[in-house]
Amino acid sequence: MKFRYCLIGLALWNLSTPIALAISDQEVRDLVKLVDTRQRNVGDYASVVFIDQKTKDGATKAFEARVYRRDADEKLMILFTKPKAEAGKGYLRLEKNLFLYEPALGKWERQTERASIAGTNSRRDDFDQSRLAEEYDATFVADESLGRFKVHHLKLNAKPGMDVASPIVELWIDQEEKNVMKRQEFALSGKLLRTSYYPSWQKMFSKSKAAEVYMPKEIRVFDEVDKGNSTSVALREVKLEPLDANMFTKAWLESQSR
Amino acid sequence: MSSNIAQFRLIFAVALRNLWLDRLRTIIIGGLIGTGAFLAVIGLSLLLDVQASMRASITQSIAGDLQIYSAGAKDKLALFGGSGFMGRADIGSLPDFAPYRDAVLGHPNVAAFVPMGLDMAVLSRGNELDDAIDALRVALKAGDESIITGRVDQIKFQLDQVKLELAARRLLSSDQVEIDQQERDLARALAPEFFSQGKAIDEEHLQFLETKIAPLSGEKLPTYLQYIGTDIAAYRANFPKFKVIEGAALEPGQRGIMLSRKVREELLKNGVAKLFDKLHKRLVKRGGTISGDEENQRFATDLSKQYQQILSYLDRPNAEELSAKLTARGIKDDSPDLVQRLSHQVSAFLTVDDKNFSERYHWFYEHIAPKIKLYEVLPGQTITVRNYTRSGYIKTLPLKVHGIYNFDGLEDSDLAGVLNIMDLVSFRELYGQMTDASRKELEAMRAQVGMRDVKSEDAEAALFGDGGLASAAPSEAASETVGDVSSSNQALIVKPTLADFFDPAEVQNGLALNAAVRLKDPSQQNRTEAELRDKLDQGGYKVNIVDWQQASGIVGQFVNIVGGTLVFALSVIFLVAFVIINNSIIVGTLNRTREIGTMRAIGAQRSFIVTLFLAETGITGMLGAFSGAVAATAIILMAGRKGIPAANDVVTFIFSGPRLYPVIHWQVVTSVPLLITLFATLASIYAARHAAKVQPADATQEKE
Repeated sequence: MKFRYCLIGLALWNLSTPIALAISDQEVRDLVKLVDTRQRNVGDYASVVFIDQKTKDGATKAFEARVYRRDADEKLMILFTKPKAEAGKGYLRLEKNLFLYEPALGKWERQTERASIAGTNSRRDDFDQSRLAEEYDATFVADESLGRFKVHHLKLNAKPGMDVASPIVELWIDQEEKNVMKRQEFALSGKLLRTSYYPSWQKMFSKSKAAEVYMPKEIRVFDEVDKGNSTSVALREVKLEPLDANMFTKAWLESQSR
Repeated sequence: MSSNIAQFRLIFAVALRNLWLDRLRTIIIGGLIGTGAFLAVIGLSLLLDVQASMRASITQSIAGDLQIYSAGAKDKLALFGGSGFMGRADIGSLPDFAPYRDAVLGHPNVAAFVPMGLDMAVLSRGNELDDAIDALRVALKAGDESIITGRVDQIKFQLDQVKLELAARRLLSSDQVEIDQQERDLARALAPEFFSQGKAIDEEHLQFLETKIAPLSGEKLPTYLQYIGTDIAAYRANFPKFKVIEGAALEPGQRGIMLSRKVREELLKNGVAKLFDKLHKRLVKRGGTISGDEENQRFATDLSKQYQQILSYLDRPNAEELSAKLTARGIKDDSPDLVQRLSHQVSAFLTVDDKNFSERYHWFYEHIAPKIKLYEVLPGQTITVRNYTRSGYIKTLPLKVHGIYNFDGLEDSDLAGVLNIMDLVSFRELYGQMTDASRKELEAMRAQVGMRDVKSEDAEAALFGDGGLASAAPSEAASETVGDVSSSNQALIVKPTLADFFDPAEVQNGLALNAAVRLKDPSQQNRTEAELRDKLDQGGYKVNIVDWQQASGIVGQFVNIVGGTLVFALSVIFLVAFVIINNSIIVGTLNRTREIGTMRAIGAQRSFIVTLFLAETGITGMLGAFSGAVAATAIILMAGRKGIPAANDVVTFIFSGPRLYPVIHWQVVTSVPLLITLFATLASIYAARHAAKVQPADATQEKE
């Protein structure tokens, strides 16, 4: 009953409030910094990721992989576990080298391309740390509603000389929880390239950071250039405990598919 | 009746007399017509020969007589290239070719239906240092001390070469800081203690070599492999030019790939050997020279710079042996450092000219080739091919190279040799086709994760609206969650094994992109094509049916282009000839006004004059055209004995072999002179009618 009154009160407050409630530039900067800080982790990271891709022509691909990341020396390892045809394949990124492991042959291949992981729409920065405050200048656009959520709509323009995947990014940040709920990426011309939604988040205490780390549990990515192409990502079994010292090695990855 | 014969005889006799009296004009006109006939007979005969040989090349290697592919294709089918983006044509697919096959095989003139698919994959590899480090890794696993020592020695020798390369790079690089770092890394690897652990070289050292040192040796460009996937049993039964020259043939039900000899020679052979081969072909087989030929000079210059392609495969003992051999044959160098000395020696050895080429070519194959990796892939090895599926995903597949094949008679042809052949099941996997089993597995994965399908159009409502999936507050999770994903104590996955065989029934239906149709009687091709089109259309099968020429893309259009050019050239020749004939008759008429006027005065009708002039042209045309045809026949007979050599690889494909052996086409030899005579005679009607207008009085006027 009390909740219902709250909702009615909230609705009335909404009606009496101007649509765009500006927050100061400093508050915008602080908000973006908070998004980075919350997501940043300084130690090791491990999770199970499920990626499901669909294309406009009906083709589909899904896989489950274990992702291991060591931010201290920029090491990344992806070990595919499902489907059977992909199980055991792995990517190992060591500095500028990306190695692909083919378990059926027991062979490694050093690859030069780094843009795409496993031929999915996932990019390197999808697995990297959030550096929005470092890479972009943020401005306030409006306070808006995203379904039943009140959000701050911000526009981020890449700082001069920054090597970023998208020169313009717009964010919709939950006013209450300060989590990113929607993200749109644009080309320099203003053309919308992709829209991502982050419907749920989880937080976890990290000993190495001595603070909580916020991570999306689920991401929905829609390609706005090739309309109809979409990617869904689910992150499970996240772990921030230190990983074995010898994990980011070929030998370790090979040992997982014996 | 008898008067007609008498008149004909008279006209014939008068015409012969006139031609004899005006011999020069007769010879010029006859010569023109004869030349035209000669060129027409030669040209048309060769065109028919080329068409027949090209037909054999194309229909018996890849295309068949007809090709069938989806009507929904975005690009045209081009088996030998010339369509689609980056050589990847989008020709749609036949999701299950079985009903198409059954419909096509129902036609009485169809001998076979062979399902196919055409695509392209990438074969990417590391450099020679990557290979050497990989070999060391394998040796360390096996634990054989002698092999490990050999591998270490080979790597050390290669590191000496990298040191030289790095010194050269420093002179060119603008990023000296990066070079400093690279030199420090290299110094660590070259330090005596780096490899002192022998059998106990640890992962950290290997990883250092792989990540810091191997990239210093440069990147190899990826190799693009075009391939067709097919029902190998049907293919081998219906394409007689396919011939295995090394290894074994891919058997029905076997997974794997057959590499084309040309692909292996061009893309997977050591660079030095490739340049030697190229020059050998141009100098020895075709009789060219290096001096005076820009292209040959360029190849020779390239060859002299490729010493690294030899050194990078040698270990120290082999390098010392090679240095000694080169010294013994007079190529000496005083550098105390083996790498420097051998670099200079090999570079000097690879500096070839017209005098030394042949000898060095043979010496290379006798003494150097056995010490290096001549081919990157050998029959029996398994390669990893990577393909972007039609949906844009990357699919990698290990495939055993069963053997090397050729198309008989097309050994040197670039065009016929670009395609590799694999089984249809592997093709489908690389194409990205999902089987029922993989579809079920995927659905099970989705169900397990429990993610609801959300469409782009209503994503916000579905995720953030009332009853949406979104949750406001982040859930709290402990770091230790279900399953310990970081545990390295136990293997997580069972190693996937790729079956070497499949049930041959799998290629009796299912996905194909196109299909080749072989005909019992190829001369009925057009009729069969039309009937098949009607039949498939009536059956509701929306397909494109094209003949072998259309299916082979630009290459197949060659005959049409040559034919069109020939007809155009002959048309120009005959047009000029007919203008000359007309003019000469009109000029002749002016000269013969008195004679014509006299004939008219003594009772000759205009029709007599017209017939006389036509007879003169007809006789001249007949003599000239048949003389030309006889001369052309003699030339064809001579060429047919020796054969016309193919000037280059493209012509080899067009000739269906290294030489074209022309044959006499009697229909051309007989019909061309008759047609030319007819046209020449008809072309002189205007001039003849002009002559017939001369009045009897004109004879007197001229006299006055």
